Amino acid sequence: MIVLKYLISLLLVCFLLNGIISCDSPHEKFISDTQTELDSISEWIEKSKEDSYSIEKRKNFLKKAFRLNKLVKNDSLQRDQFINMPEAAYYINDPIFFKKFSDQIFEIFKKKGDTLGLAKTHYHFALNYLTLEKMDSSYIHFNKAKKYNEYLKRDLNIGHCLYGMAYGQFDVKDFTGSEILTIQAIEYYKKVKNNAGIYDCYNILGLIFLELKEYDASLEYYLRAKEIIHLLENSKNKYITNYNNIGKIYQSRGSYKKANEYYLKALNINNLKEVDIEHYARVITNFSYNKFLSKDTLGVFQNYQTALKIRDSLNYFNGIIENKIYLSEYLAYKTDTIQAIQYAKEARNLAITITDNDNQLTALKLLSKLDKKNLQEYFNDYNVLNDSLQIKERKLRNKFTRIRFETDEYMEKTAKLSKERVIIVIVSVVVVVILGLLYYIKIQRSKNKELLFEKEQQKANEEIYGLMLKQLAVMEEGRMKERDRIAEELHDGIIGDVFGARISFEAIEFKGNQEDQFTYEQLILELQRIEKEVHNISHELKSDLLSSNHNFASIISSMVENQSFKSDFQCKIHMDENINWFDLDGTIKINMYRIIQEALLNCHKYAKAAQVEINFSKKKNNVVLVINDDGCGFDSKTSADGIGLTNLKSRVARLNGSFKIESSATTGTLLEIKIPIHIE
Amino acid sequence: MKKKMSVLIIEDHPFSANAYRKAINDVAIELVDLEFDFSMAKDCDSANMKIMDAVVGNGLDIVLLDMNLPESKDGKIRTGEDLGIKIRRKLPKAKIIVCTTYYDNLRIQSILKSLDPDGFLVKNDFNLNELRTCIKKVITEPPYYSITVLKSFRKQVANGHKIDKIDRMLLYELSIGTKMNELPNVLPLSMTGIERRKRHLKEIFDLKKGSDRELVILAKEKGFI
Repeated sequence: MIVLKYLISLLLVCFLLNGIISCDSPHEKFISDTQTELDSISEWIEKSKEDSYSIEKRKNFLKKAFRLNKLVKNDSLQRDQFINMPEAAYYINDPIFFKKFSDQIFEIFKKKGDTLGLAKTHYHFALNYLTLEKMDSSYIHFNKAKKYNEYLKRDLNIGHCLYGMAYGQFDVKDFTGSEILTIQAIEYYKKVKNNAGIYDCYNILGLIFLELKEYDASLEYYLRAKEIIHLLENSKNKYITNYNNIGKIYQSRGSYKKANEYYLKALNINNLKEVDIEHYARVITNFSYNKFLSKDTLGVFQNYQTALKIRDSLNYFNGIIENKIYLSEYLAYKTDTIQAIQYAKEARNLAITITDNDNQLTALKLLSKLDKKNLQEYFNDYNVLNDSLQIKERKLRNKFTRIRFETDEYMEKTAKLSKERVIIVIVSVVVVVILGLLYYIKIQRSKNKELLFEKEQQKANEEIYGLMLKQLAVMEEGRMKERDRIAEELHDGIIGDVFGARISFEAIEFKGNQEDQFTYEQLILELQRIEKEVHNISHELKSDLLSSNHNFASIISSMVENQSFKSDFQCKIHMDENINWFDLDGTIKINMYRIIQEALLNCHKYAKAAQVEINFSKKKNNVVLVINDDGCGFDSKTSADGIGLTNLKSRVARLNGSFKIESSATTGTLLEIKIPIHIE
Repeated sequence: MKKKMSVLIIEDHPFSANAYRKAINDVAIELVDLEFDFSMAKDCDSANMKIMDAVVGNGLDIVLLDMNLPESKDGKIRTGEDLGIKIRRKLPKAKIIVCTTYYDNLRIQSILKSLDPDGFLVKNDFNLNELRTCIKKVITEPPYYSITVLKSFRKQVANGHKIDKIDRMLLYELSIGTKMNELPNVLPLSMTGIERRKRHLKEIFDLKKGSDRELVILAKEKGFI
């Protein structure tokens, strides 16, 4: 029972430390709007842990925290608070309250399948059952907590669970089972370098081997425990315990002298009485008992009495029973049988009230020795109790095995289930991905179709432009031809006719008065003048043929005029006469037309240009088109190509041309396009 | 005895032809010892026949030749110029008076070169009196050129030394709007040759940056076309 109490406090300390560490992370996740709310929840939880408040008040704090936390909307923040509650509830040290309170939280975690929450809750359930000395329930919960921790790979907590389970096995005297679990626990503690845990494990191993009467092994573990005490907190107390334990081994072995040495070592620790009165009582009890065993009764009785007084004041019943048994033994030795029987009976009664079976047995054994009158009765009682205890222990041992087995099975099942879940998840992810891909492909395909359609449309548009230009050219040519014909007709036909008429008139010998003669000559001159005029007209008509070369230019200039009329800029066109537009490939002309149109649109829309210059020139076998505006320009390096620029580029690329753009806010934009000519 | 001269009037316009005939007759009246024997042709075919007749017959003394005539049916003879060449070849003694509506320098120069006519009248220049003078002159002391022809001569002499016939043809073709890619077919030049000549012409006319149009206009002004 001493060990039990100690163990619980140890486990709790371990867990608290761990809790503080794991508490850190949620703080980072706090969101400002619920900050104060959450702060107040954690404040309530902290308050519930403070001893200075009454137990009722602490319970209320925790309940308040629970109620408030239920209202928190953010799941992860809510969970962070819930996780800390079982520990706080356990800390209040009211097992019934704890059970009721933690069950609610357990249900919440179970619903959400929160493994960390479940691990923590199970662990505290186990601790709670440990305080209630319900070893089987405690064992179940330790085991479950262990499995969850294994799943979460929380090595330290696995160690704690294993240690708790080892303690359960130890309690039912399944020493081998306990040893195995302890050694497992040590492995986990070593992994995380938790010396306190290792120390505890060595101690329990020492106890196990003491019970198995393998004193050397027991001593070995206690010595190992001693080695690491200096690394731990509260080392003074631990040295006391350690010396006491080692003393007990020597005592059990019968090496009373050695035992005495260790007990003295413990007693010699400074201020032992002030530092730990409980330990002090224990050590002097053991020290005296050892003395008694070595037949040295000096001061033994007084020491027993002192220890009894101390333990009485502490309400440490197991200790009281122990002291009373020792006193009884001592008195029996001193042949004060009546008093001895009295102490033994007291011890037995106390053991019955607190159900300390081991000590009850010891007391019965003692009584059967002392009270010869009631020997039979005591002997029977002893046997009945011993048998029932053994049966109970066996049952518990079997139960533990079953629990382990069942949980293994359960874990296997959940593993299988989770495997299935993983498969389902994978399959659904694959399906989603495939569907997504299909959808993507479909979209892509329709996009392609759209692009293709656009391209076709563009092509059609260009064809229309091409036809338009060709049509214009044909019309122009027809016009020219017609003009040519008219000119020729005028020249060859009419002039000839008029000339013929005039000359014929002249051939006629006109005889009349002087006035008529004059008129006649004037008329002839008039005819000559008409000839000349017709000639001139025909000549002018012919001269204009030269402009047939300019039909593309005229198309461009009419477009430019149109454009600059719509917008507010002045546009100058300069054309190199060396470019024979008529012979130029239609697509070049169409694209040039479109490029200029696009560029003028940009000048108007973005550049806000006032002056635009368009310059066609011929360099080697290239037509060079330069469009220069004085607008506000753009950054040609950084700005992403707009649709206009991209179109421009693709047009130029289609004509195997090159493309250059220079732009700045001060000089406007200069666009230079060079397109190779291939004369057909 | 009166001297008899055979005259062939090749003119598609009957009024004109008659007027010529009258004018020539007037000359015969004036120069008493002359007598003209007229034959007339209206188109290239009939003119050709008359020429062939004359070749085997008594020949021709004077041919009044219009440049612009309906071409022969086989298409071989297309203008008066072609006829003129034939006359020159077949009847070298015949005196040719070209009578044309052509006005432009190039044609005038071309005709002068190919036919070396004894008389050259641009229709718009002259009247019957002038025709009479011309015929007299041609009979007595050729040649006789009307004013336009003389002007052309003058221009030619003034700056003709730098510009050859091909240049002139090129200018002419440009002026009538012949396409650049057809030029090599019309002229005995390659594309680059044409370009070079054009550059050269522009230099001559001091047109450093001018267009073809300006070149043609200037060439016209200066009388090369």
